[in-house]
Amino acid sequence: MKKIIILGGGTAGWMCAAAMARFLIPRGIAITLIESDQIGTVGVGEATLPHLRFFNQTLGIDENAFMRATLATYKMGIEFQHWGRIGDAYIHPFGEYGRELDGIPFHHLWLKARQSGRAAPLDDYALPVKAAAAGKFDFPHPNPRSILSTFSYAFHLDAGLYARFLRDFAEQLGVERVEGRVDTIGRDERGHISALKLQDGNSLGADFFVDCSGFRALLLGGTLQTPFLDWSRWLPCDSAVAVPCESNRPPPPYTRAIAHSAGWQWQIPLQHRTGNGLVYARDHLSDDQACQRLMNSLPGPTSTEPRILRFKAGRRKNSWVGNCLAIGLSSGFLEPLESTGIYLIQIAITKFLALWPQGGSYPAGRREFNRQMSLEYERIRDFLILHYHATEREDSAFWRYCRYMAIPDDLRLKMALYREQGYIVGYGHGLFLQPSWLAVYHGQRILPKTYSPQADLLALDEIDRLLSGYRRLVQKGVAAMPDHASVIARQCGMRPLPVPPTAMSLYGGIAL
Amino acid sequence: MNRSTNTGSAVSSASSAAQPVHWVVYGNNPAARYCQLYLVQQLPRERICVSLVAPGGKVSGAGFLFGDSAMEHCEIGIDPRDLLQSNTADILLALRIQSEANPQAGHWLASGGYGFMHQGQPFFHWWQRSRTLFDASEFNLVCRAAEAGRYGDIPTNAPEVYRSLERGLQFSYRDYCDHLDLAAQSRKLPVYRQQATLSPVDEHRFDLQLADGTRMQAGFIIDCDGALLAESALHNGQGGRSLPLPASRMTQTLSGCRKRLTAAHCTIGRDGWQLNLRGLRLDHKVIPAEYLRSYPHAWAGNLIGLGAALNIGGLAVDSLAQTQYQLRQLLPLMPLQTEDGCLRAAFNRQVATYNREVTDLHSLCHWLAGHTRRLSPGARAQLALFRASGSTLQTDIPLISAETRLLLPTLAGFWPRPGTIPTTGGDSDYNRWVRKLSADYRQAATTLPEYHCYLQSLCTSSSREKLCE
Repeated sequence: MKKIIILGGGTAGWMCAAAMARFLIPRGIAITLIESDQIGTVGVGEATLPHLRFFNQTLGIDENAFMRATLATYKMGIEFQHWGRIGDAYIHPFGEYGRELDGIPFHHLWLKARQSGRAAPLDDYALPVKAAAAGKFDFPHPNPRSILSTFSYAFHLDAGLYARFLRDFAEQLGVERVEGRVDTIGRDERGHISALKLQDGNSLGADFFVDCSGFRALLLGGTLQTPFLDWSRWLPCDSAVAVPCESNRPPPPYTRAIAHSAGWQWQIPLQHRTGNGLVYARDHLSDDQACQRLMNSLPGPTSTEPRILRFKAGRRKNSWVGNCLAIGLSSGFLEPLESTGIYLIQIAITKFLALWPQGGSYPAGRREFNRQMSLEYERIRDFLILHYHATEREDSAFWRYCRYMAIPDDLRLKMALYREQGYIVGYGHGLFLQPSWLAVYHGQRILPKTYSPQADLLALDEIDRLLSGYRRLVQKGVAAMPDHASVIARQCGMRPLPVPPTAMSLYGGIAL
Repeated sequence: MNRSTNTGSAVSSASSAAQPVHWVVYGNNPAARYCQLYLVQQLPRERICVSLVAPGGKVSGAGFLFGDSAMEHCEIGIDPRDLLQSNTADILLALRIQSEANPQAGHWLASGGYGFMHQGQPFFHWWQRSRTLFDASEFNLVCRAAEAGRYGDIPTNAPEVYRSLERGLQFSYRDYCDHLDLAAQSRKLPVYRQQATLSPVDEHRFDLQLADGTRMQAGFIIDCDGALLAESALHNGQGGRSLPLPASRMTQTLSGCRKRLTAAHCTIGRDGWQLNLRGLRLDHKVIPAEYLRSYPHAWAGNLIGLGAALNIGGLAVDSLAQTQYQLRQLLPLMPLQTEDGCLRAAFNRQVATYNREVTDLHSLCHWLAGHTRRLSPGARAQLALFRASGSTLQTDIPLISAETRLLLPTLAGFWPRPGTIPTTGGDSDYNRWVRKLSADYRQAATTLPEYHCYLQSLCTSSSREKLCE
């Protein structure tokens, strides 16, 4: 393999180009990215997950430079408002709730104490929840015994600036950028893509093609006709309207996801503005109503017209077909409720590079890549569906539908297990792990019928002491943390502190 | 806005169950004894009582546990150090694998601990360039130490090569059972040494009929033997499913003096394999054209099969290790009164996933050894991916390290296709670096104490802590 062409230059395209520039150009592979300034980008994923830190670290990107370039803020979780019931709020943190004792998961100890009226609210045992709610932030402590090591962090960023930042990075490492729009797509006798002919008449050939053309999926969908698996029966929102506004208060270190009668609304605080959007199902809310609702609830003034996006939840049956790999929106779409857009781009890139067919033989790597990506999508899908389904809301047709809809078997089993005896299904790869499921189950009012009998191995007084001690540690830890805004100012200023290393993890952010 | 919203009162008193549930474990092997101790250790006595029904007969066989499986004895209230002190078990660092056809040319194989990431490259990739000069085991402290008969605590300020001293345990099943019997006796756990058969209560539930005529009522029955599962399948008119794993017959002989070593030996032949450890020689003869039959569901009604009962072989993953994993899955799903459909479904699903992983690994090993021409789909995909890109399939249940999984095919002469793995580094730099690294590993192994010195030092508290970490 000698040459790869990436089609599309949004977040997905330039993330892919940057990674390939770092890892494939040194192996003698030429990388070309084709994009057109005439085509706008969706600007996917202004809110991210902690894994992005690992991606930047792997590429050798300085995190402080990245913060400055993308006008980013730090993020410790997502606050969900009005999901279980109108008036409810909880934070899904990038961190742990308490700590297990003798192999007994913390939430079982908490459930036992709670039953006797001897437990504080669950959030009191999660440092990232309390810190985020208080507007505090600091880098996780490298000592795993420290309470300040029990969380990780991500970013809110300007996706357009991030793509620009990565473009500079990739071009410096030798990626060739070609301005142009694709006119026709050439295929060889095996059906593989052989060349892209641009509207200016220029034709570019390559051994391998990466489709980052967004929702249009020009290569994987348009040319290779890969079927789309439609998940809209479980995730009925099909539109979003987005508009930035001015920010006139310190940015909170978390994203907001505020449910409304036919979907939800996001607020993403950046250094210079707040990103806003309203996700909705057109069967239940018209575009005009959605725009009006969004404009009426902005946290600051705006001079921009709202922009409407259309989408359908689901994914392509395979993300890698023949010599074409789709990354980002061309591969599938899951609404940004849990900020998974950039994660899915990143994970596709890293999986592809790990299975890189240096010898030019695709089938085995392709099969494994597609298997892994379908697992990633389905695990995230189920977690998103949980937010809609685990509700007591009946105030609109939309929520009644979500509450009573049939859900995937896997998710039904997971929810039944938690309800039955507090068991949270775990898996080694992919999003999301036990603390995330606990956050949403608990935050949306699902309580187990009973706790694990293992918790009865410990006397109530002992559990009480453990919980009280941990809660005090959380309080002390939060009190010692600086304000979020001051950390941003420090890290983007003249004397930033060194940033701790990270691992590919949602929770334990420290590489040990 | 309510920040903490969950104010419901659905949680019931877990201790409100009036009577402890009676669990009966059936089997005369390490897994059955482990199972009884595990349940008793992990759950309060007000909630559960556990009887062991062990059919008579001599316990034979021997096995090994690696990594977490070895150290998990703390979960049954037994410090692994006690197994060493009582001469029930020895540390196992690595296996010496050799071919029956060429017994002189052997390889050391450990379950992990090979090299480290270097310049973004995993060990298997950067080692490729020097594989004609250096065996993979030369970059594994565990293998080096096993070869030199050494073992000891890792210095706290140890250099990079020390960082992975993954150890296991090896033991004869008889010694192991004797040790656990003493533990059960000291805890006054009920043990019945007799045969038993199933006694139907209704369409889905059984009690046990003991050989002395007693009917033992059971809330749940755990079969670690396989006899009850087979009887139940017969009762329900269900047969097992054929796995791509050849059936084998084992014979055991004393192989000589019982010298305490940190290594075991495995000789692979086309019609079987021979394992030598702790003075025992175990000959496994493949039975031509006969395959293992296993059960699609581990848990049906109130009968749960674990480990050897599920019959997925034991070439690379001992049936005790299988039982340990399955028990860990079972514990949080154990029904407190009567069995519940969703708990059973979740357990069966998890065990099926695990069993598929084990079957794939066993299938690959048997295929590479030439014992069978059948390969499970997972093993076939694994081999294809290995050949195409020198990678492993992603799994939620890593039975052995990725590096060890990649090394397995190479023992049988299979390598990634030429050109699939990138070459890294400048030649002279790389050669100098890799030569020095090999020397560092060799040097590091020689600084570890002799194994017998380690055994003598076991009385110190620091050794105890290290083992139980």
